[in-house]
Amino acid sequence: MNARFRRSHEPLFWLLFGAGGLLAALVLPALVLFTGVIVPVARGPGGEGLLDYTRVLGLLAWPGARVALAGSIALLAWHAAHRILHLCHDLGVHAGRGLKWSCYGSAALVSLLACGLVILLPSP
Amino acid sequence: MTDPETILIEVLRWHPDTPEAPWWQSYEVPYRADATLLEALQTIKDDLDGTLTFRWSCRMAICGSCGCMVNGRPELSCHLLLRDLAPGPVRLEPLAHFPVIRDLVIDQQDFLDKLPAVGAYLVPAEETEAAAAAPAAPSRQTPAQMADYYQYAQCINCLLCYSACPQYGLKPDFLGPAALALMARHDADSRDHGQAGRRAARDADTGVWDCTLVGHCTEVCPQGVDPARAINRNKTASARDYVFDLLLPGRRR
Amino acid sequence: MTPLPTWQRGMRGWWRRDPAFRRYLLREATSVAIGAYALMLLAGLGCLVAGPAAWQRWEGLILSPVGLLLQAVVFAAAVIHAVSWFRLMPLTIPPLGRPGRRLADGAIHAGAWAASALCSLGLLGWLVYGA
Ligand code: SF4
Ligand code: FES
Repeated sequence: MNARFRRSHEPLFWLLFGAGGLLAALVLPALVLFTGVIVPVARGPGGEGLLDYTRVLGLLAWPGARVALAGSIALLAWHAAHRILHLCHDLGVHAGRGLKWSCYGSAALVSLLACGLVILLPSP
Repeated sequence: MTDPETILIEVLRWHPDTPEAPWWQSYEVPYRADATLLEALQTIKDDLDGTLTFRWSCRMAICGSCGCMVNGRPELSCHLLLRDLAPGPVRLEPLAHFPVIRDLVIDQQDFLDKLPAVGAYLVPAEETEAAAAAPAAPSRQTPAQMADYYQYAQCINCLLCYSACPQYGLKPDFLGPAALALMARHDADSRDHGQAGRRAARDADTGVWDCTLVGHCTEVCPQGVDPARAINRNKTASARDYVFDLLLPGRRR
Repeated sequence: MTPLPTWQRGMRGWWRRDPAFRRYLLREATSVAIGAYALMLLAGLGCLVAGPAAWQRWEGLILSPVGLLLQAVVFAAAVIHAVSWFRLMPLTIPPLGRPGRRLADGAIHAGAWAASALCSLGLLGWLVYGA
């Protein structure tokens, strides 16, 4: 009775999707609130801002922050790629091999770039 | 508000003799506040149009045979009162995603074929040591243990959840909500020892992984079965086993 | 036995059947905005590596009217995502506790929102007062 069932590799992608989804649910509203509202509103009298070059580099001087930033970008990308793939299928676009590879391939590329860039970050 | 004299019921009809031409037919049915939608269908068949075809048996929401789409939502027609549908019109269609045999009658064969695949029966502990030591011992269960699967065991195989599931409509091989809820029902039973035998079906694409947690199955279920929970908890279990099997080679397959 | 002749209806426009389906698609569509935001962060990281001039261009871009408008969309998407994610959370985690004293859905919801508040405050505190 079990011959017709082949094991799915979906768990791999689903776990990445879930990790990114959990991360997004926990902190994404706050993060967007920061970049989109707090930063423009909280500009100092001398024009100094929360996203000034040296300040951001200072925040990212701590290795843990770099890992968190690269990890967050990667997980959000995997989350989005997985859902967009299923959304395409839901909307009637056939989710064949090509679409699968481009979705997950983009997520992998984003992850790779994020990791590489975070290593290249100059120290303040 | 005074009660209306009649209520307009529109039925999407199909007859195998005119396969190219499904048609909408309207019926003005005498209105009674305490009549069910099924009784209105019976009135049509008895008094207005004997050719209208639909399934029913128990008239009390327990046999699961009278399902149809009511204004786009899967419902048991015996479980709906006309007064909740007034003033109408009420649009009836056969259950979505299933092949139609005639009018409101659909072919459930696909579901019946899938049922055996999920191992929807208790597997006794024949091979375990405890059973060998005390042959034919009764399988006792506490109310607390029963509570773990009771909800899943209320399924009446009405298939409303399949009609509520776009993934089943898009991917007909998907085992689907009720079958996977029955899988979870037996896995969660303290008397059962058949979990290993249900795994292959669970871990396949056509098992829990075709589900995207639309969640409408749970909303339409007349029995409160909550198939969405049954399936998605099994996704977590399936993913856990996937990771362990990957990290510990030789563990399984 | 020859199979009965049947009529099979298609799936075209299935989301028109029920508002629940459109809510589901909205939930799924939040991923597009979340993915766009991830790309925005990645671009920012690239500009940070490229130097102060590039970084300033990126900052100018995300704080331009168009950038802010897009971030407003991302914010709405993030909120819809968080609400639906936590609402469905009890469906995806295995039953916790022992038989008869299982953890209620409400406790999971409360725990998730508490964790979200804690993480959000921590993140904002670090971003605003850190360094
Ligand atoms: S799970 Fe609910 S909706 Fe689905 S077949 Fe069983 S009783 Fe009907
Ligand atoms: S007639 Fe039995 S469930 Fe409706």
